[in-house]
Amino acid sequence: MYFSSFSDISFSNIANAAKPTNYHLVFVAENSADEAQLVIDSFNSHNLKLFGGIFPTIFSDLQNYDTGFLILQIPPVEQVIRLSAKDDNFYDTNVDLDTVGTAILLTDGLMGETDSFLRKIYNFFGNQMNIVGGGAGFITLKQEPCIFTNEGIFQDGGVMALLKSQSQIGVKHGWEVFDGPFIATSTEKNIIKELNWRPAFEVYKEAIEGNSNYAFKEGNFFDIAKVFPFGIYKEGTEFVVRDPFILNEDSSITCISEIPENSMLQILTGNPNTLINAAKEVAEMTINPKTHSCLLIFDCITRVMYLNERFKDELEAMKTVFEPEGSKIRGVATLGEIASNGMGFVEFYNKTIVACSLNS
Amino acid sequence: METKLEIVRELSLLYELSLSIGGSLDLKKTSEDFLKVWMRQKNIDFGSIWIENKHLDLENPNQFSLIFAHPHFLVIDQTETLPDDFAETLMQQKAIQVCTEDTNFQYFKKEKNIKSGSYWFLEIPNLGFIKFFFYEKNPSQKSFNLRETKKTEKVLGKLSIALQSCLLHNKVITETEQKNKYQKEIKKLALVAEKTDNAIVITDSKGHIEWANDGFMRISGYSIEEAIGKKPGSMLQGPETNQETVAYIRNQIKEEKSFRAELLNYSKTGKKYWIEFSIQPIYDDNGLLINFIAVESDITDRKNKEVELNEAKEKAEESGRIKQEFLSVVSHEIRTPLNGIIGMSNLLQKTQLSPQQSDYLNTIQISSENLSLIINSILDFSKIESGLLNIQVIPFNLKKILQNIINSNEFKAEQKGLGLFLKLDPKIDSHLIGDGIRLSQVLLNLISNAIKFTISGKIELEIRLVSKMNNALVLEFIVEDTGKGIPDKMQKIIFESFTQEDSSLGRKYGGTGLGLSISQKLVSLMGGELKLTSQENVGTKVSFILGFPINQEPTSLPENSTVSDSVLIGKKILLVEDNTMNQFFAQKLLEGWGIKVDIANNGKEGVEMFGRKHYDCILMDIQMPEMDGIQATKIIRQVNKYIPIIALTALSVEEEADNFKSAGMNDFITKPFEAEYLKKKLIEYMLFFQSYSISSPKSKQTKTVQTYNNSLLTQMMKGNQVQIRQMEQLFVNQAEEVIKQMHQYFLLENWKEIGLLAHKLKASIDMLQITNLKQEIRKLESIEKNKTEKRVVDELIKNVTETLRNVCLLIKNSHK
Repeated sequence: MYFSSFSDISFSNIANAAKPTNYHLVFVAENSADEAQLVIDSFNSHNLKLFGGIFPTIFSDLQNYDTGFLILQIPPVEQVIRLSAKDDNFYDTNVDLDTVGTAILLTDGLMGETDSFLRKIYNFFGNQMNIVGGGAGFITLKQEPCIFTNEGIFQDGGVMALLKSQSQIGVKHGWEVFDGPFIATSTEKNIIKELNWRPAFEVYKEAIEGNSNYAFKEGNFFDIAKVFPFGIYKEGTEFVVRDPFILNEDSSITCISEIPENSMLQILTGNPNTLINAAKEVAEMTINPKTHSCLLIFDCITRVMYLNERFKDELEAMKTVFEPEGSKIRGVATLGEIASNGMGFVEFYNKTIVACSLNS
Repeated sequence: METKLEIVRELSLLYELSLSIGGSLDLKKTSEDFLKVWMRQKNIDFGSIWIENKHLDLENPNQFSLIFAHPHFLVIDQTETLPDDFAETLMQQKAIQVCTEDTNFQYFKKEKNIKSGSYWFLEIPNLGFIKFFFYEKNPSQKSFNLRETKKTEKVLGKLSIALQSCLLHNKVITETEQKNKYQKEIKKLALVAEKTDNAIVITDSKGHIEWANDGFMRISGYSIEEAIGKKPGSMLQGPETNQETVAYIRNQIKEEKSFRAELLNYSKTGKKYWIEFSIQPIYDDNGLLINFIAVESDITDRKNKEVELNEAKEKAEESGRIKQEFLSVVSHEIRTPLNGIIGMSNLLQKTQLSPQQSDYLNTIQISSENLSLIINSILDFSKIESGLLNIQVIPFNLKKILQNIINSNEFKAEQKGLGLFLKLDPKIDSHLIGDGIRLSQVLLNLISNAIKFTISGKIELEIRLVSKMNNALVLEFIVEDTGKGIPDKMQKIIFESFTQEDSSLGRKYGGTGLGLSISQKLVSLMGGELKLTSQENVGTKVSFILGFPINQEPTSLPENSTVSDSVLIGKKILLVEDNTMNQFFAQKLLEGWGIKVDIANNGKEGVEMFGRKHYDCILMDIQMPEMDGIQATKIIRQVNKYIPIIALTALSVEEEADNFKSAGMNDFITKPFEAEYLKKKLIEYMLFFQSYSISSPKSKQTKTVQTYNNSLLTQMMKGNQVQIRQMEQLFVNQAEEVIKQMHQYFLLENWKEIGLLAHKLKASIDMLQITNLKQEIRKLESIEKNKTEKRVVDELIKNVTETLRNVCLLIKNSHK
């Protein structure tokens, strides 16, 4: 349920409606971040359990809010674990992992070690459960405490809730090849230094300016780059999107997450229609006609920004799929999306919409 | 038909795969780089690289070992065996897919969480294979096929070479490290060889010197250049070199044996020196003899010292032997005249003497007895030292020994106001087998020390049963006093010979300082260890543990110790003794006890006289002309098994005791002997003999009730009649005075003073064994404490007075 301000929240109603043992998933919109601690304190004083994060925006039904709170009842949670990115042996649980169907993972979206953190999660929790979630944080891209449990608000690492519920996960972005292929002949983690043995920006600029009306000027890199992300080839799925977001002085380009050296990249682009269509497809992948399910959407903040006015259409497109099934749209704009449908790695996506329906 | 983009993708994969190889010379890193690219691009769920053990120098050469896996948590088994036909097919086809429905899927399903899907095995030429897995649901599974794998064949060839390079690199690194380690060790060894004090010489197989170290130069005086090419023997051996050793060395070398020897060598300047050396043959890998290594050390000093030591040892042994001989002679030569002195002074004592003469004689007696004690101590000690003292294994009566010890020390203790207690575990058997005399000696020494060094309190002799078996028991003997104690630092020293805690103690308490040392050694000879714990001003505890076999057939000697001396009256004794002074002394002594004595001058005479007449006992000297005592005894025993024969000997008897026994002697008495001891032995054996003798009628033993008995006093005074009389006289004086005073205090009803008088007299009454008064005097002692009625006190004093007067009268009469 959405609350526009802390004072609107009726904790006694929540307490009455909830089983005392179960957790609430709480999303806080960036502009209400100051009140996040009040929410946690109130949950504690009512003996209610919660976990959640602060995100640039939150959405409920067709509305996208930059203030307020979403307090969601979800199927029973077995355990909530606070995970540190720095500790190699962070995991010690008495929950039998074979019985876990789904894990909701909220990470600090601006921590530096997301890729290795997710690898660690994969190695610990294996590949027998669905993992879904996204990076929390602020649109200012300044790292601050943004994930929380009853114990307080943290930064670095993540919070993981283990649920017995099975789930369906949909992942899609709708971005398509604009130009390529290029070979990332020199990279260092999330920095592309060379494309096709030349300074990366030189090649990137040439490709975009040569095939569109966009022209790079001082200070407009991100404005253009949000329209032209990189895509890494992955057999049998869409390209894995990597968002370029900083142009460095040495003409290298810093992306949101890691680019393997010598990998083949495409420059992608999208138009609102393909993106919105992808959202619809995600909704269709996720829908489970058998059960009345709880629906969660992790949609990249760059899509929200790119679609701008038309973001409402993306929500609308999903709503058309979900509404006949009785599911409401609730979700957050994320700094990176996380999904693993029980096969292969826990992937960190950019510019992607990840949806999950939890069987109740 | 593939699109251009698809071709680019394939090229990109091959490009990325190719570039992932060779980034590192680390086997695992190369494997990881390669697999991760492929797995990412092809969306592969699990991948691993395996190499055959023979390339890794591991056991089971045909097995495969895991090099890298991703994700690693799925791995259960780190080793893999491919069925032969499967391995062959893989070699031919380069790639094999194994799906859920395939029969060998279960065989290869060795990772966690895998239920269904498909495995891919890709050959890494000449090395091993890659194992991939796709889950059933993985959409990329379908696009991975034989066409796909065909494209990567060449890259896999490159991977193989890269991995082989890594292996080679590892090998080289390991070998280099090993080599460096060896070189370091060799350097170290070379340095040791060069700098050691020992000479080290390496020869070829024929014995020609190839190398020698500085040590060789220093010892032999030859330079390395002079030595090289020569045989050590030709350079170093000279006229005094032992040729037998040289022959031995040649033989050992010929037989290519390693050995040790000592040899006299000559240096370049002709100086003789001794070496001890070891020679080791060295073989090459084919087992062919290539070198000998000799390590030599200069032992000239040691050799010289050995000679000196040998000389010193011989000297020491000689002087030990001389000392022993000397002591033996001293023993005999001193004991015989001493026996005369003691005997004669005893006899002299019985004659009419002026008080002054009696005094002088007394001093002579005390001095000679002390001298006798000291000589015995010194002899004991020297015998122990030279290992000549043997411990007897004969039956003895423990209770008797203990009682004797207590009896003979009770007076001394009481004189000093000390309690002397015997605590004997009633479970202890009395009839044991061992050296009762030595045990008694030790305990006497410990008790006498305890009394000596204790001013107040008590001395306790405790015998504790440690354990008991069927026919043996282990006893702990504890002598504990409340004396001045021994300081910690002195506790070890006092066991040393001739040492007392403080040299002034000798002057104050007397003694040779040998007592404790002898006791310790005797205990040790009997198989125990003397332990001492002491606390200054609290007391000292000396203990030892000994084991004794139980005597299953105790000799049934009459236990009646109150047998009267009268048993001796009229007995006939044959004294076989060549020394006229001894004859005289013994004769007078024996006659003094009412015994009839015949004298034989040697063994031969003794045998003859025994044949002619009946005797109740024979006292037999050992060393005599014509026929010695042993021989004589043997002859007598042929005709009479029962007559007691007691050896009189000045020899150190322990080593002879067996001889005496085997000759048929019943016992022995060491000269100079104590009259009482002789008397005791005679009574003992003659009573014993009576029970066997058919010719001698049994005398009726009458137990006379004596008012007093001076046997304890006699024992205490060692039979010194002058002293005994003095003591008795003292008692008479004291008793008369006490009687007088008691009556005075009775009139005043001063019970306290009467108690004190009783206390004063108590020890003397016990001493003279006035048994009638034993209880009475104690009652009197405590009349105050017990608030006794006047009537009873009167009665007690009357009784005491009457008995004391009788005793005094008897004493006075005996002194007339």
